[in-house]
Amino acid sequence: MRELNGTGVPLENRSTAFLALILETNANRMASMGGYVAASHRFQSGPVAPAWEGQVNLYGTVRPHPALETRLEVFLDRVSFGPRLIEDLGDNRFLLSPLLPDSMSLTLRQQWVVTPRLTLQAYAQLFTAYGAYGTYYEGVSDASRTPIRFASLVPVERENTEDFHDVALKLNMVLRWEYRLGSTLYVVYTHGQQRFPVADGVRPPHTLMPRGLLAGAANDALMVKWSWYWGA
Amino acid sequence: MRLERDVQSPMGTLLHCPRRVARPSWPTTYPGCRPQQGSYPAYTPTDGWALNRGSWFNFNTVAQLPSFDFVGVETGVNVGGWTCAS
Repeated sequence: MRELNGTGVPLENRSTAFLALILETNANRMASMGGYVAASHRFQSGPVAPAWEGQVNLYGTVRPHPALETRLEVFLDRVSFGPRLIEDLGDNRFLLSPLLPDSMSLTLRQQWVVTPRLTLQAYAQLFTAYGAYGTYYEGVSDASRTPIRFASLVPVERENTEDFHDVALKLNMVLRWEYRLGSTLYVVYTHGQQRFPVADGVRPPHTLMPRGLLAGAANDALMVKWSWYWGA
Repeated sequence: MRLERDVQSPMGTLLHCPRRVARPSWPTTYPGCRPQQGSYPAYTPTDGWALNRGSWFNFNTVAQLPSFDFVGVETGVNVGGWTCAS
């Protein structure tokens, strides 16, 4: 579902049908949950076979004590794109390929109100994604930007160099101490890490496992912020 | 009828173009039930391109139960048309 970006040439839409079920339990309970499950069907897109896709977004929250809250959230997404632009070959010829990307996000949030003036918050998110392209096709338009129909696409031979795999991890902790009315001390620790890049010439793995994460570069930071209120 | 942009759904990528949407609502016998929403294919592209954006139908409803839990369902179909040209 994407125009031939920057060219002004329209591309046929993929056709889909979907159904989503949504549930949210009463958030005032000690334990609550919610989210949705959605399934979608992409119909035949010219030479590209129909396929199923879907999303799952579920979360759960637990408050075992008024001062403690834990929330865990998972998000899974699979999209079956129809043919989409890979490259403008010039002379009104375009290279297209169907993309099948999967992604997953796991998020954990923890809050602890130690005292009314001292709180601790923690956040962790693991994100993984990969994309797999299929057969390559060539679509042809003309100087008047005639729209390209999926049915007109012609398969072409080409080495797949567009697949991708990515993993990211984000952690942070925030300690907030309002030691006096209007005067606050923050201590923040953050950790960011991304997978080691896939080597040239190697096809990225088609998995949501966090491969290469520990070998990737990390960025750690400790920050302190002090606000001092000395009265009006 | 009113012009609506970027109608967001769980399958958010399905609805992405400016469009006209009819959003009827009516009272229900069960007070916990929110108004149903229906959308009809009435495209008038607003980007200057006289291109058919396709036909689509979307139906959403959500109900609040006596336990204050929510349940909902959303379904739709999006057929044919052309992407927004740039």
